[in-house]
Amino acid sequence: MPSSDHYVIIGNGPAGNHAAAALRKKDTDARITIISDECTPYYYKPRLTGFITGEIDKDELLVKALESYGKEGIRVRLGQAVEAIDTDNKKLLLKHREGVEYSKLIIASGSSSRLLPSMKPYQDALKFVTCYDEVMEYKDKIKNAREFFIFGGDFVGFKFLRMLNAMGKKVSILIYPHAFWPYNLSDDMLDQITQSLSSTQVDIIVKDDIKRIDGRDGAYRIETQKGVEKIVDMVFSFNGLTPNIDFAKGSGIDIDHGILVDEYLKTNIEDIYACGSCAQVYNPKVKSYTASLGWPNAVAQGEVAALNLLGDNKVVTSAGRKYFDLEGVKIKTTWWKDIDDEPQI
Amino acid sequence: MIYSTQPVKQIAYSTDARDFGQVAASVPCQEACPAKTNIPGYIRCIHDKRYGRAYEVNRIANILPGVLGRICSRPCEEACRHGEPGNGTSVGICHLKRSCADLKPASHRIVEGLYSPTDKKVAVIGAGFTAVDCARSAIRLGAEDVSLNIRKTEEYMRIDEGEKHEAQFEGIRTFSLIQPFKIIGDGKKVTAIEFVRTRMEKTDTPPFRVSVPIEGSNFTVKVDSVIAALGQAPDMDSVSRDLSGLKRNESQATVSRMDSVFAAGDFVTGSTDVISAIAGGRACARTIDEFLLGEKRRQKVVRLEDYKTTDRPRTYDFINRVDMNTIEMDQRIKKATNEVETGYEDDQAFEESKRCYLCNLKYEIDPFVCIYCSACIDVAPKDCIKMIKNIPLNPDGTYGDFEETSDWNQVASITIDNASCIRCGQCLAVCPMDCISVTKTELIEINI
Repeated sequence: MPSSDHYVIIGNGPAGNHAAAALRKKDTDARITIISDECTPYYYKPRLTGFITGEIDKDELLVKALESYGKEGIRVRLGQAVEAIDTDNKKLLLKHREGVEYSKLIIASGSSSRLLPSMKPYQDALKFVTCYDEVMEYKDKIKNAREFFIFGGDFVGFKFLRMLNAMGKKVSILIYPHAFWPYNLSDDMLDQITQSLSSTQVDIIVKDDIKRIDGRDGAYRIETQKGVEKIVDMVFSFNGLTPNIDFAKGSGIDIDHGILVDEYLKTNIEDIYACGSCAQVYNPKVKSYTASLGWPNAVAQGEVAALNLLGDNKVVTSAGRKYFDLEGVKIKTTWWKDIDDEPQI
Repeated sequence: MIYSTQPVKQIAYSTDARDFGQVAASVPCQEACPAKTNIPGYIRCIHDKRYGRAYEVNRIANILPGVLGRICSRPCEEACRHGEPGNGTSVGICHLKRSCADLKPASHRIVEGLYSPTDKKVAVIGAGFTAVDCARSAIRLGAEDVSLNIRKTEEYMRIDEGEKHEAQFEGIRTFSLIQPFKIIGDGKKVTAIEFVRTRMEKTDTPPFRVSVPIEGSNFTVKVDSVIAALGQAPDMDSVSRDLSGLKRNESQATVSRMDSVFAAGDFVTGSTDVISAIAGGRACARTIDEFLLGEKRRQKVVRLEDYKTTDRPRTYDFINRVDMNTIEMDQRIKKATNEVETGYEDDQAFEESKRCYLCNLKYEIDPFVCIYCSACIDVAPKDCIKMIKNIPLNPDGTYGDFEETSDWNQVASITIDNASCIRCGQCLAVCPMDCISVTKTELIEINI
């Protein structure tokens, strides 16, 4: 008898796609639907900076073409945002007021750029590098712009800074030690990063904060607390990531920074799983919840979530790099303390 | 002599349970307010630039509009129909309440003294408004690193989103799923706090989720000060053993077994909000008055006033909530008594007042005049006008679930569900039979 199950996956990134593939492999009959608020098929986010510079084109950015979903019997709903989860009736409410019923649900909605609360008044002036649609908005403008200002730092931020530098742009960066939340960069770390960037033409500002951003005639005048003034063409913010989980709030699913799941990636609600950077996974070894970033973790967790949804009991383990190298400083990829030692220079 | 062109308004005072039920069910903000403040009433006064009157409408229910406009826990905003899915965000009721006090002539301000923490790194334990107040005050008094430490997750913090945002904005970090295990000192002062991590588990009683400590997950954080903001409970025995067995009378006042001893506020309810304490005080005062006079002098009634229209265009429904004005960050920490929120300007209060749906207006269709053309249903922006075969009446005067039908043979009437209606007036405008009436309902007290 054909399966009447409908497995729904929220998110079209590595976790969601690998979950879908694992589900299809084990269950050839069930309906599988991926829902994503982005309009672009599955693409490789770490390559966005290369896409901006023109090193790679859109086809090279894509991991999977739309047609191949059809062949695998996976339905993809792009450009459709989930607004709420009705866990009692096992139904998703989409923003355009459509209801989608599920028998089992995997939340793999990923994360997006964190807007610091202190930067909220200036959000109209800020640009982020989170997704394809954002990048497409200003890709051409970057090519023509000459002067840039970056707030924060983080891994993507420094990659972006190096990219702008290589393009011959004039860049100023105000490094926020808490861009790597919850770690505050120590003075030693800041010194090392500053030294590492000294060979470039980048203007580095530390131990200062924003006072005002005024947008006028397509340019931005930036003033810091200590009186530094810059007039630039574009302003970017890189202050880490925040999980995309607003739609799950109030649904009864336990949420902290991300969606809380046990070591089997199960939420507190029956038949709902979460994986990837939107999830905060219980780690029995450290007796705490941890969140993992990076592509390999998302892939591994997507597969584990799918297998456990089908009745398996796999415990997720950390995959990929535990540390990123940031201009010579080692930064951990998890946001909880006590996983290992504090990061050292 | 001045002649008015306005017709004389018809006003009635009702003690019918159905009118009380109607007001309770369809004016959610007022119903959610422990003091039953006439919220649509004072917002309309602000809209009409009658700030003094708006202040007085507030004063009828609570004696501290200016204070509550700053610190109220805002149960009304959670209940506001403008915040329901698809309707946008709730009306800034609390900000508007404050603007009554700020914008009326001769306003008052209260400045409270603060205690200073002992040093730079401060851990606040607690998840309520008091905890956040402690944390934000510590920042103003020179603390460098201030954290809020909570047992459950941020979702369960008993504060509103605005307060959460301001705390984050000022650099206060929240550590969730941890609870204090031990405070460590060197014999002279606090040096650290030992926490144990927690995880969420199910429970059979509300809120159905509790945090439980994870054995062996202890860890220590160095701190210079610990502020406990964990709520308070009354110590009844220290006042009198005879106070046990407090109960509520029919006027919602709390009376004791002892003759002529009454109680109100946190002593009765445990730690709660100011508006609940004010409601308790008022109920108490009323009962004391009756006790001293030996007779009842005041009675609750629903004032029903014939009203022609909402005077509220549909475009008002799409106005975004007006954010509160705040001072710059450097000004916030310069002086501990600098008030962060500076209140609405006159034009901002006017703009925000437009957003109130005026749920105190009751819309009704006269089934004997209605020709069942459905024109009102077609123009209604919400699913608020229904074809029904029956409406059950609850014992408290509210209506139960409407029994809807699409079978014309069973339709008893076309009825407006005032609990879903957003008072846009579209139905009123389109009705060919003029069979829709609007009545202004106000919960008031009158002399018997």
